[in-house]
Amino acid sequence: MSPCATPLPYETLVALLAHELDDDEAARADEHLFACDPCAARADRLAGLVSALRDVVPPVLSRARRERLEQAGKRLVLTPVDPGAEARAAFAPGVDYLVHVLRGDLGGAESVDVELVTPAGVPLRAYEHVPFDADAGEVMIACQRHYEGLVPDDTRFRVWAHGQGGERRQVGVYFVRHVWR
Amino acid sequence: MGHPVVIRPVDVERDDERALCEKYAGRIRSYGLRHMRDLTATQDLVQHVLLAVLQALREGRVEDPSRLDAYVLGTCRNAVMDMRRGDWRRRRVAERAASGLPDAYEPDWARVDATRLEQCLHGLASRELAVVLATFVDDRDADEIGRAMSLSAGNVRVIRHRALARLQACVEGGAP
Repeated sequence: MSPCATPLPYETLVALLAHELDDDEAARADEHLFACDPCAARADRLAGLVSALRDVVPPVLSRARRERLEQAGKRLVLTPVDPGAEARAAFAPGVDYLVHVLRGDLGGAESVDVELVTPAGVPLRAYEHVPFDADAGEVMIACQRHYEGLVPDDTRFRVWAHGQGGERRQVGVYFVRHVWR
Repeated sequence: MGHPVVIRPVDVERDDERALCEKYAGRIRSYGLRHMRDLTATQDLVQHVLLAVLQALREGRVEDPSRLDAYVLGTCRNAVMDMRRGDWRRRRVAERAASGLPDAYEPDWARVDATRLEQCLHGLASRELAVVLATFVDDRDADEIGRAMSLSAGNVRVIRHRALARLQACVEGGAP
């Protein structure tokens, strides 16, 4: 394979895949990719990664993503969870996703973060700027079978809301006891 | 009066046809994934375009074989528009395509390992993860993500392409 004299920058390939190039830029990028072996190979690998990413079910779901899962015939079990209360959710046969609907006051929230924490409140993992429904006061956690064993069974979800002025307040701490099989 | 265009038939040996398929299958696949976001439709597109190009070459309908890249891209563009018109047509061209490719030619398609991808996603910083998921799972553009995260669109793009580069390195064999 001959080297490319004017390789497309990685940023351009990413922007092309994110549909952020204008029509002329995208057309020029396409023409280059169809004529250039090394760039075509790079673009193909990146497109494969992005395609796989589009299939990822993120740990925190938007309503649109949840609807797409339902439209695709996935079986979701929704469990409403209130702050401080213990809920239970079981992966019965045929269930694809456990969706924990964390309920709380999200009024005025500009953005929401979710942390996984120990019972003592020590953070294990954080998800920033997750999808949320301010009107319904809901954050949806998509629990997936392959999460078993990734974090301790007594892990809690702690939800934070950020207001317009940047102030952060805790919405609640939630616990769901999982029955994996 | 100009000279009439003389279209010279191009003889394509089967090995050459196979090489052509191997050269363009990935390009067509990338194009299809970007424009249709559907794996099945993209597989159909690859087959359809390869067959259409081979037939055009066999019948001498490619005026300038030295510009075959442009011809394949044009065929891709037309096919995507064509396929958007209806599933029935897509199925039909796929069936036709299956019978016309070089013997035993199957477009090679190495899929990303989903488990590996999830492991690698967990290796991203939380902000990187948020940007990558918002872009490619929730289809939000850099401006929208920037507003939500109090970042400029330019910052979002930088975070995004760096995160994607790290993710790609991880998926292709680096540390999660």
